[in-house]
Amino acid sequence: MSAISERNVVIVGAGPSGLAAAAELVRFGIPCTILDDQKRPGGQYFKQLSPEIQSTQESSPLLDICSHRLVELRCETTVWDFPAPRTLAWVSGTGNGRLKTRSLILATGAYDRPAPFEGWTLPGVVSAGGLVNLYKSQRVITGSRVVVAGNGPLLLTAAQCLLQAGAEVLALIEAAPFATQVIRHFPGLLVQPGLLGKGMGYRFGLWCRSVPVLEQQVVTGARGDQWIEKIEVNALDDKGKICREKRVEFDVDALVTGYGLMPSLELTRLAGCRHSFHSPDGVWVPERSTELESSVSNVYVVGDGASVAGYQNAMVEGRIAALAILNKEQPSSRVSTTLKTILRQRRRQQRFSQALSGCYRTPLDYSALVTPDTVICRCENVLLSEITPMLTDSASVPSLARVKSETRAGMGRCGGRNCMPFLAGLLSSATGQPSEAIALPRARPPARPVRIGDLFSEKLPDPDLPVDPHAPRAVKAR
Amino acid sequence: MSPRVEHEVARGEPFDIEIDGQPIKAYPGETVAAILIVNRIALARTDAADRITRGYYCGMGVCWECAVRIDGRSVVRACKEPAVKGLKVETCLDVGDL
Repeated sequence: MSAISERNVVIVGAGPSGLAAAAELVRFGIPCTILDDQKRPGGQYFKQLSPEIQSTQESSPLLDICSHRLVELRCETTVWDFPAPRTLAWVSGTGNGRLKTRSLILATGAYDRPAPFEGWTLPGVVSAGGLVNLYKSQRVITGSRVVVAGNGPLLLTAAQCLLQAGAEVLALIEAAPFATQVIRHFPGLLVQPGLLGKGMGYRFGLWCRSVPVLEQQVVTGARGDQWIEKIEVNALDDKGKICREKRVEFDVDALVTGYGLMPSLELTRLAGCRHSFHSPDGVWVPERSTELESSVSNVYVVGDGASVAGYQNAMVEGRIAALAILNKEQPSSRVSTTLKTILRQRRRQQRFSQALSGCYRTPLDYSALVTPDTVICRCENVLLSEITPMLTDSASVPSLARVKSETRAGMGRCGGRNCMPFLAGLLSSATGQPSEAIALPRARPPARPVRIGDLFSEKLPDPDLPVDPHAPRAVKAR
Repeated sequence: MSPRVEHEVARGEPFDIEIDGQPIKAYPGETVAAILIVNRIALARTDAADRITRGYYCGMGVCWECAVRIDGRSVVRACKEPAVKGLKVETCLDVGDL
């Protein structure tokens, strides 16, 4: 058998929720280990500026927890499998191994919901998260004449980064009828005056710079030779249908697109957690108890990696999981009182995030954005026209597993993260099955691409005991 | 306007990296992806039938669209690869390399 180290509490992900969990554990004197595959802690929200670049930047006090003596932080460490419940397999540039833990907190964050359209693979088309990251970590942006388009509050953040960098933002294109929906949901937004103020500040910034905000519109195509040059924007009617006759074009050198975020579920699936379909947001989410424990006992799932609700909610959820663990391991009245207070805070956060997603709800059918020539799977360059026959073939039952095996869509390095959510929607539209009836292909290790060389690295702590990636798996992923 | 923000930003001494044989200026702390974007260098993917262009997309290591070959050996994600002096980057990959 291979070398297994043991820990009391392991946290996967050093973003807002993971760090908040660590801080809470440390407050009660409990040590923890944090694994993160990025170079520096902070996750996407607290993404730090590269240390060699100096600029004015607010740094979160939460990051200080990383240097606490009770915290063992391992960056550039990828968790790629769960060979047994609460035993995780990790790999880094300097070694690999397994960690067995009594309690596990998965805080793996979210990523941009992929929404293919004609030309979305052109250089110069970047995701909203990608633009914000580039700005936060290196003070670099993608172009000088930019349109920001899609759905959701991250577009405002992206536009803000571009404006601060001095780019010309030609328009912010929002698919949802935000202005009409915000009135109904305003009371819920008032629960978080700080966040509401921030959002209003961003919109005021757009107004000051005369950036038009075009609502109920959508980018339907991007064109260019080697780099994006032109985009086409169409209006949406109240049912979310694209009005082909109502269109405008923009000359751009970059397009930032984002259609909201989706939880990264590779690890919750490999860990064997049960998931259910959350129809308002159209995503699968891990099932959780009030105290955020998943269906696998002592495995907690927190933050945007469980259900996207923003960094403040993520921090609250990290604290809840930590307190729930404390409550089991060393119960005290101080722990249970704090837990009650934080659970109340979470209810407030949830009210805000529900109101916010209400403001940004759109009936847009993503499958209407693609044409037969649109690339659906970026990794394997699979076009819609190659996939459609699988969906309409009456000889066999269409499924995502079949689409995957016959077209190679979803077989590339991204692990299907960029095409499977869209393909699930497409299959649902084509077959009339409800989205929750569409089974995702089985989650298989590795959760992220890992180099075979790293798994059999000579830098192993104990070279005689390499990890066997083909070892029998104790946990079946759903 | 430069895609490198200059207002209230101080960078170290620039150095050169080599992209497809051309020397390209880089600053300490930048990733290869940032340098590709600043210089508007598209990435090429080839297979028997096709030659397509791609570029930086997700910016968080999910999509692998920014994959490049460095120093003639490994295929890495440009968004995670720090630029160091003299680094040799190839932007054209065969689909089989990915």
